[in-house]
Amino acid sequence: MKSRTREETLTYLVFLVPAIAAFTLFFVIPFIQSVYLSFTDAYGYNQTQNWIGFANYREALTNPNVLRSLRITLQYTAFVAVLANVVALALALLLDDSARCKKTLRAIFFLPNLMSMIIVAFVFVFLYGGVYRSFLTQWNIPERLAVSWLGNEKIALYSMGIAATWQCAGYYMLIYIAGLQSISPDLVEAAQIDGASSLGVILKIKLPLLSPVIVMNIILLITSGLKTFDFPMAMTSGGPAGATTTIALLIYNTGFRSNRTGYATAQSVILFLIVCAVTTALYVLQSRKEKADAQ
Amino acid sequence: MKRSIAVLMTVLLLLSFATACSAQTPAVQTPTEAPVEQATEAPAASAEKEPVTLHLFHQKQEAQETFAQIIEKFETEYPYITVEQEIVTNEPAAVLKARLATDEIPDIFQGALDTMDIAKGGYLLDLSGEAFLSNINDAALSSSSFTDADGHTWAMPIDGSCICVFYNKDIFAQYGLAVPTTLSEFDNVLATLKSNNVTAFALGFKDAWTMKPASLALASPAVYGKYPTWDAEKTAGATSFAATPEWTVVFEQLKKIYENGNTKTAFDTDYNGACAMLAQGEAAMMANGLWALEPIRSINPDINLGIMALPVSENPADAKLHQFPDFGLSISKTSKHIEECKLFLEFLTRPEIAELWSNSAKLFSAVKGVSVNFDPVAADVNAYIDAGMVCTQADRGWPTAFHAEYEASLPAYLLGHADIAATMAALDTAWDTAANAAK
Repeated sequence: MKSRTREETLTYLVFLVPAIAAFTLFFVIPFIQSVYLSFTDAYGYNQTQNWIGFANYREALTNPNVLRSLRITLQYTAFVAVLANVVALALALLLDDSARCKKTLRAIFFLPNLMSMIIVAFVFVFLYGGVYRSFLTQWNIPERLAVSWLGNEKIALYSMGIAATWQCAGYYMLIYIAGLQSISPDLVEAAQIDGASSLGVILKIKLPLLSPVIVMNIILLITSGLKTFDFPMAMTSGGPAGATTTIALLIYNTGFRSNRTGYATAQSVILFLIVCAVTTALYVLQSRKEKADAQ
Repeated sequence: MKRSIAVLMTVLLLLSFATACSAQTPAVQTPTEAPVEQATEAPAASAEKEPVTLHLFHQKQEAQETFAQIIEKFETEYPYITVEQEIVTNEPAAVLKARLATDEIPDIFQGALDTMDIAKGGYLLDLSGEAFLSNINDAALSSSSFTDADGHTWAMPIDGSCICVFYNKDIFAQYGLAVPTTLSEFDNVLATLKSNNVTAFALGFKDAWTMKPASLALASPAVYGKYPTWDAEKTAGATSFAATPEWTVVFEQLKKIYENGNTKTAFDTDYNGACAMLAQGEAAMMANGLWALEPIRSINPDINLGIMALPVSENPADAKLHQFPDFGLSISKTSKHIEECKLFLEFLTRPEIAELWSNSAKLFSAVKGVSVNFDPVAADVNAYIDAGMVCTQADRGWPTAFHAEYEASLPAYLLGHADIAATMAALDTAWDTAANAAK
């Protein structure tokens, strides 16, 4: 019996080895190397690095540009996490049954998710620029009423968030639909027999039962929002006046444009810790809630 | 049974994974190694010289055809050398950095703004003392982008460009305006255009990089025209942005340009949009580099265009044009074919080749005795050169990490996030940090 267990363990291990090897090679080792680099003065093309302790971290946490980028990233993430969730949930509630037209609509709403972020970014640059301008001219709207979608510092971040929502809402809609379909129809039927309105069914039955899915979608949106790079890179290059420079874009600029590899790596470790902290916090909250519900 | 098959499959998977890893060794082979292999396979093919392949890496997409022509001529003269050009326009610095880190270093490459950093990393061959460098204009060669303070020449300049103000001569003639050479004349030009409802400057600040050339057109004559060693003094702590009033003039004049342009739509308009505004007569001027000539002409080939320098004081002698060596090539220190690389650089300095290059690139030549007339605007630039009204220095000697901070300070100042004192203080800190990081 004992040897059989050992044999089984060995088999499991053999199966795990490829995945562990790939994970170690492409994630663990580079990660450890990055953490090491963040404590050095590694600089672009220099072949030597000197250990400088926490100097990079001190600079990052006191540099107003880094702090501003962190704030911008949090603002953007909050905006997209709320908007994309609301849109995805609304679409899911509207399209939650298997009528043929609804299936087609689901496919249509999911389509933007298959497009590359860069293409979506360029499409929206075109919409906010050329198409919008033509619309203004066509309808003789005076220039003073025109909105500068990507040129106005106060609006640009949210214009970018709208593009991101358009791209990702379909994906989260599918997750919500899967969640909705796992809700027993008996519960809904019983509520309807008891005289619950459609809104009542949504608010009192569907939403509470969907809460694990909602939390999962929020976690997914927050982690992807905190790492946003493609949209600011392609739509605004971080402008105007740094108003859309997310932390990921700042890290890229610090590492690849300013050549300050060690400093950029310290910034990425800080971002990594923030993503970890936020995800863990949400996960713990959800687990506690589930436990409370079970009791 | 099923389990043993599964285990066998897993082992096979592992083996294929291991093979894939080991297969990387030939995959990362540098192009320079290839000819050595060819040579050992077919030694009889070249009785006199072994065939050599040089890998040329640059970011000048528009020069692809010209380089192809030059390479063809070169290969006719040196039949045993093949030059393969690789053009990377998207993030070339990042690509080059990856190549250097993985020992896939091209034999000849354009280090662009990073040349001095790459040299410090020990990757470049010092070209000083090479005979072919005597064909290059001294001013171009001694520029801080190519030759360092210790006299090492890390790259060979081929052409020269300028950062300037393009202006519509017809609009200027219509309102009786002359090229301004003092700040008060410049104010007068702006006032006249404003009173006639003409947008003075085409601004394409959606592409944030376009703010920098506009500021350099001012900084070069204002700061470096007066203090050629300003960079070294700043790094040594002998001067600062705050203590150099000329830097304040640069930022204030830049704001004047912003306020007298398509201000409301400046951050909605991109570089091409600004070029179109000037080309279609919607604005009278645009501050940018000579490279903007091509897009302007492609929109309106017949525009009556002129080039001028920006005034920076009440002294007309200060209104100098910022002319600088642009495209330069370096040789990798670890190239296995250094002699052949030098032959290629020497070939580029021959007058007929330099002329071919400059005419197609629409740039001035860095090679002695080669004067080109690629466009009517070249006459304007030549007039500045003939009068000695050029200054060659601006941002090329800055610490690499300072560029991004400087670029960020421009919109912050223009949009009123920081006043002039705060801007100068921020630039001082940014310079010190960047210079320290590059040590």
